[in-house]
Amino acid sequence: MSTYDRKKSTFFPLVVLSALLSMGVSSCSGIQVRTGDENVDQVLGMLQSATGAAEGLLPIGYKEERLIGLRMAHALSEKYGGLLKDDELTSYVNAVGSAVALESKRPDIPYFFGVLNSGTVNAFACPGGYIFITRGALAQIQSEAELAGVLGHEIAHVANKHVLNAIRRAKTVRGVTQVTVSALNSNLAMMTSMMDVGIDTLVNKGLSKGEENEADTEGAVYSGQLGYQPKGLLQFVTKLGELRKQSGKDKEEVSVFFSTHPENADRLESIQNAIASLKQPAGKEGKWVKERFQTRTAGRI
Amino acid sequence: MKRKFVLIAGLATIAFLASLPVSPAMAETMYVRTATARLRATESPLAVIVQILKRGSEVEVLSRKGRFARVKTKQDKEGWIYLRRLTDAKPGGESGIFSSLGQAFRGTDASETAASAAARGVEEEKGASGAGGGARSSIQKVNLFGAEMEKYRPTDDQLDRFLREGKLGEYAE
Repeated sequence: MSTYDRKKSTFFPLVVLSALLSMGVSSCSGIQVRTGDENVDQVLGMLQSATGAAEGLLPIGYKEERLIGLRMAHALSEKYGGLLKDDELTSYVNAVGSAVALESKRPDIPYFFGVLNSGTVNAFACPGGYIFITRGALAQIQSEAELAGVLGHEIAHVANKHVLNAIRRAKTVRGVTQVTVSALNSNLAMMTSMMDVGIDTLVNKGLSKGEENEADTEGAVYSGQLGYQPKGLLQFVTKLGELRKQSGKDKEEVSVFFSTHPENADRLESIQNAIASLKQPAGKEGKWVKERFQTRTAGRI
Repeated sequence: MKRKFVLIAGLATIAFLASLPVSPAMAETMYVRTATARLRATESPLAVIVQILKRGSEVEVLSRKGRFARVKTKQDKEGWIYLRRLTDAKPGGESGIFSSLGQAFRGTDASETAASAAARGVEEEKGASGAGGGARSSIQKVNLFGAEMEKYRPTDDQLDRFLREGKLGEYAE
């Protein structure tokens, strides 16, 4: 599994800062073009499907996605400290994450959240809903709204199937026409190949800026719609910027976050645009929920 | 003769349309978008639960008030539901994954175990048959890891309590 065995970095940074978002269009597969005219939309939908077929994107069902995601999650967990054995803390993180997932565009699948026993500041998501946050990242967080924003960002990656699509597009899976659970179980080479592509995407290549932007904005929207202060994610990123200044940019705990890091001001603008688009936010004012976060995490991270 | 028939048919159509009650024409059909949604007696999130609806359930929206909608279910039960639990597009695709496994999104531990097993393809003998003991051991490790990850998912009641305590979602003020 040498593909993710690189010297310095860990896995894919949660907040590879999405660049100058500005544009509301992205090349991500999650974006659908809508004109407001149902007939036109239907045709566009058909064209989009046809384009997908023409590109030869490999169809992968949920069971198969979850199987691949679990294998990836297991491999990455073993590589990066393993799961922190703390029932209370893990239950709390799962409650926050599952609540945020109710607001996602893919609320019909279960999401599972694990805390990795690593001091590195990071979070990442595997296909099928297996999401990790490190102990180091939790230590930088001071409110539930921030945690909700970070987890919302990761949920959005799963909801938009960003990593899964990287696997579907991979050269190494060309020629494969059907992926089934039994095929994945019996064809070790196919499973390994798909896992490697997924892990390489998370660890080395990263997702596109458009995909990161999508996860940023949707993460803010999910948490905001639930009733959290939607600037939680932004606050977390701002804090990391300060941490970087204090620690020096080469310090490994934070450096992975800044390898492709646009200025916070750009990110602020993008997330604020997302916040402005919030529909039906729960409650009049977004809540930070600091006290519960402090109580439930005290002495555990 | 033909013209007279057309006229009569036209008048009959108009009479038929006029006889239809106005409200159903305005009624809006929506669907439950999350695994479950609580139908309550009034628009308060603390009101008595009339029925728990599953994802994909169709409801007729009778009126709206704030963040809640008064709806009628297919079973003719009326009550209030938090609007964010509804969508105007019928959920498709993956909703069948869990129902086909006999459970909802946040099912019991037992059914989740079954769902997880199916989702992971935990057929150890089958999985290991072509790859020997090493593969079997590897699959067992992955399955144990999966069970460890999955056991912390809150139940529906736990999640509801969490939202209520934090004044989030339908409990937001």
